[in-house]
Amino acid sequence: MANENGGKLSQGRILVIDDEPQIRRIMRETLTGAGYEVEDARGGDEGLVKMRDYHPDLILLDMNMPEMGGLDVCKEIRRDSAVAIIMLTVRNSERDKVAALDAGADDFVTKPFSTPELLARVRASLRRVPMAQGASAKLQFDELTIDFPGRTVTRGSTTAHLTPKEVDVLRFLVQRANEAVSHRELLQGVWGPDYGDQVDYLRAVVKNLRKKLESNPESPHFIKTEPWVGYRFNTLPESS
Amino acid sequence: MVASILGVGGITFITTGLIPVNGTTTGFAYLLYVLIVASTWGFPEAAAVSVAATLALNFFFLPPVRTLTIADPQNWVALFTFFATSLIASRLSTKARRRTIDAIERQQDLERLYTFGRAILLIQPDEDFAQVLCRKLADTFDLSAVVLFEQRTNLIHRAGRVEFEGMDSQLRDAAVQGTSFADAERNRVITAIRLGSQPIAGLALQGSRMPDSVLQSIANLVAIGLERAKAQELSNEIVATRRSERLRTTLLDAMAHEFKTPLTSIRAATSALLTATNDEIFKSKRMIQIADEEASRLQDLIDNALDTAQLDNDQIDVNLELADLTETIRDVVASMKSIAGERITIQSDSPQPPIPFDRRLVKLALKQILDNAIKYSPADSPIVVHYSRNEDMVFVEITNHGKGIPAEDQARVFERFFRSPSVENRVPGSGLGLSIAYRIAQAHGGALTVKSHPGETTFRLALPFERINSA
Repeated sequence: MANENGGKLSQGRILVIDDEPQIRRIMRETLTGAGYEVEDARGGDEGLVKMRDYHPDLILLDMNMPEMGGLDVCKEIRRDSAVAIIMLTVRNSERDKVAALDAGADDFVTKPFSTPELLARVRASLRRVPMAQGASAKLQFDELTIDFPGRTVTRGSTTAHLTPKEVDVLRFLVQRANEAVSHRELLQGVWGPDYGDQVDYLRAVVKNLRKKLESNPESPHFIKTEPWVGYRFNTLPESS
Repeated sequence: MVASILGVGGITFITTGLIPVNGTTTGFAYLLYVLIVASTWGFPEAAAVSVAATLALNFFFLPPVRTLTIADPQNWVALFTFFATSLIASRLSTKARRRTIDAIERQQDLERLYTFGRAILLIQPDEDFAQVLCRKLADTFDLSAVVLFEQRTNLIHRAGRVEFEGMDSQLRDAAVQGTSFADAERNRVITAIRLGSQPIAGLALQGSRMPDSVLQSIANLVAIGLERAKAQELSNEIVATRRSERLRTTLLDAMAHEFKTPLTSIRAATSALLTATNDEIFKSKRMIQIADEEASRLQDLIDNALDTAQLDNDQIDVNLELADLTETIRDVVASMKSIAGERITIQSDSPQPPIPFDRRLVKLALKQILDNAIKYSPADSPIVVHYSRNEDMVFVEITNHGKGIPAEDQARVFERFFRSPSVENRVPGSGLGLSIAYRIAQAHGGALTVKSHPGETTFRLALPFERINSA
């Protein structure tokens, strides 16, 4: 698809949602310069509308917006979309980070950021772990069905969509079922080599996964925590 | 006195003429009368009555009758005993009466002390404590003058109908060294107010003689009252400090947010340029332009913040100059183009003559009001600046179509640091902008007002042609 980048193929479609016009401007410059297609919106309401028409691969969402706040927009998007979301925050506080991840964001960036850093995170969020050869597309465990290509999880009569990161983490764990996988391995395998320490990201994804997979997220059967090590996907029956 | 003696005469008349009785009966009648006089009037009257009764008894009843001589020596004893009994009885009676009066007075004192103590507890935190204390003291104890010198504040408080002249040095001595002073002539007393053993104030009272115990109790209550006032002041200071800390944090938060926005653009542009490859030259000029514009904006922001902070503290000095207000308005609107785009339009009735005003300050005020309008209205809604005048004033009205300011907040919107609860957590802001604009308007002898209902808010800046109060 020919575009501003002089004939290069677009790397992906990004929707920028930020109330400040200067931020929208610089984002557009930086991202189109890196080969992405960019669309922007001035606020949550406009953003949600544009999402439906534009079908972005990634959303860059500002956390501090008047009217509908960033976190609310994120939650709203997550209600029926598993698109990758990166939140832009002003403060580098733990609380903001946790809030962003809990609301369903895949990653976040603190303003002011350096362009290389932003682009790295965009790449990490758009990254898809390729399926191993011969791996089955659908897996069944008792009443749980995991559909990897379709990115859904069905338990009983409830089907939930998985975000890209959720799919990748789950697949990583499932491919090493009943084996403990370290945090670092998971992070680098799914997010990329620049990651390795951000256990919070993993925690947030696992928490959301458990909500979708487990009949009792508080005492999970499938995704077990290996204390101090990482996580393990369990297929063995529970010994009482 | 005379009446009591006449009473003796009365009894004598009855007992000698009307109802003839003997001396013994009359004697007892006299005694009874003496007791009545003693309990009603006092010892002097009773003593006089005793003497009169004795003489009457002697004269009218003891043989030889109608003379003051006494024949029978037994009658001497009787008469003397009568006189002694009479005196003793009147003495006892007056003493009893005195004690009753004393007891009643003491009860009244206690009631007054209780009233005073309670009044101290009920003094409101926003009243001048020491002053109200003096007034309550004067009222409760019916004193003609009360003067309190408090060592801590070095202030003198006065209350009461009468001017308490002189004795200032004694009052200070009492407060500092704890000495007391009494002037019985003018019914004055000066006493030290102590907390523990340390004197903290001097109290002077005029108009009522009170027992020492009551005076001491008053002094103790005043001491407690003054300590309470001191604790209240400290508490207020702490509350104020805490509030000012919180405001400072809010301010810093708001500023951080505002500054980070242009900084984000600059950083993104420069870091992109640093990693740009050689064939990405075409985009480098655009990036540099963005970085340059945003750096300039950041500079403006910082200057604005510094100005605002400085104006918030100082007296606003207005340098009046005849200038064209329309041009100033146009300048301000132009400077806001990057964040407001084409939203702002200027309307004016007719060409305006130059008026005296401080250009820098009015620019700042207009900028604050426009900032407010931009921040609190939808991103594409129009903002109108309307310029008009009448004979004495010019009016600049700035109208935006935001949600509006809730009625209960409209009165407070110009208060320093005030942020309406409806936007407090949504939109970052310091709460200083409008208060600065307000004070700038006032410093020109003009005013800043607001009218708002949902969907439309108009701020009106009024500046007089001639400054009302010249420097």
